[in-house]
Amino acid sequence: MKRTRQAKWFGFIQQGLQPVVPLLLLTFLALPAFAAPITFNTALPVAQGEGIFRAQFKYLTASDDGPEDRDLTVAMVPLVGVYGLTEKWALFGILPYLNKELEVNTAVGRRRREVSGFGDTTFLARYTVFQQDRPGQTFRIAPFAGLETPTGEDGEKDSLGRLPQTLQLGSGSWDPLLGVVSTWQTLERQIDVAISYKFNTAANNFEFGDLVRFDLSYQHRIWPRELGSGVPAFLYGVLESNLIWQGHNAVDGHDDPDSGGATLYLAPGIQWVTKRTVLESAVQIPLIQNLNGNALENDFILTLSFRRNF
Amino acid sequence: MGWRTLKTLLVALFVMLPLTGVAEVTQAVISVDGMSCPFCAFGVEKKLKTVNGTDEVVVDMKNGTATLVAEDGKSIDIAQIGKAVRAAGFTPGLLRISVVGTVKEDHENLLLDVRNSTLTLQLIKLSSQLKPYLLDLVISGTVASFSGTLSEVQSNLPLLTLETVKEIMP
Repeated sequence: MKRTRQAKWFGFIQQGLQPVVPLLLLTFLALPAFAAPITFNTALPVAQGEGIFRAQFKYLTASDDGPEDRDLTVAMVPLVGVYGLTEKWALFGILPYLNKELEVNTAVGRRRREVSGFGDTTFLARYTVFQQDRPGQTFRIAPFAGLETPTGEDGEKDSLGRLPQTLQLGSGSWDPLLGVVSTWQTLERQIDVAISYKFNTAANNFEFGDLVRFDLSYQHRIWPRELGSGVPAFLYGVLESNLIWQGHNAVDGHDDPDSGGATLYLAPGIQWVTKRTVLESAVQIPLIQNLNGNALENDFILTLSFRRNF
Repeated sequence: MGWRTLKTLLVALFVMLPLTGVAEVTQAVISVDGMSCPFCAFGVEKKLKTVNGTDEVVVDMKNGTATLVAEDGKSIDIAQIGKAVRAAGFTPGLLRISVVGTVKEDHENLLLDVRNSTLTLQLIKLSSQLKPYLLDLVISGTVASFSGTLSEVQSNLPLLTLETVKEIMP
């Protein structure tokens, strides 16, 4: 009897391990899009000695149609600070506040596990290696490197015991990332392209799969149609895409077959840009989800965001 | 003091006002290459406001320029303008200035001494009509307002391609 009960709890916890892909994607999507694109970074400058603050709200749901009927909801508020160290160097710090909730059918009924708190903090440095400025337009290339530090709690428990690693607020690991972003901006439109790689390392006998992403953004000024004098506010229509691939997670050194895979998002959005403030919103809709095994599929990711020059 | 004396004093004061109230590099218009969104313009504006002698900065996105207006009685430090634009992450382009000063001749070159300042500019690309007029100003020592495009800003003797001249007083 006792063994049967243990097996049920074990099965429940195992199910909790499965929503790996959406959780990680959300974490990685919190990169500091401090200027132009909504869902990723840009190569546009931060003035030396000046700062930008960004607060985002991200809401993600993921689910499956299997017998467990898993429902994952994640609400996230990444707080981003950006500082222009020099005209070429910009430093970023990202601290997310997370609420994760998983509901799943088990042999003992439908269960819910939830956790809230600050997650892992990411620090990034970006350097502009190429810059070509002309009247009313700029083209830049800027590599960046960073480190996700284990500031989030990675030993959270509830009445059922320790939460599975994928539901924890923090990974417990030190995870470096590298990438490069390029931006071409004119007074009418902007294109951003970025590619990045995150090397996830092991902690708590668990290692998230490495993450590669390729991002593309097009922004078109839809208002004002004709530019007047001074610095008018711009309304941009935005269309972005994010191609994200993640490797298998490893549990005790063994690959988890129900984790990792590739997802292609299309994200229409809108952006209101003034001299000091940006208000924006986008919805990332998964066009293609080629996930491994029984990994959870994303339904959508909603982003609301606010940026302020100071 | 009779009405006539008072009137004379008032007229003298009125004549003196432009001298005391006009700054020396009174205005500068810098082209900011690469500036193409409102959010970026904020950094340009903020950096240019730190240029010594600047009271106000007006950015124009369409023309890609920023106009610096001098504080009353002060001169804009033109050497800092390009550095400020670079610090904002952009590339400085043409710099047009309005300046008050007197013209002098030095080894067949015409130089402009900026009033109440150690700044001296070399006047270049002078038309055949303008040069005799400037030589007259040299002889008369007339204080005038000049505007034109500046180059070699960081050198000891920046170059000013003169566009307009307006006498202020003999």
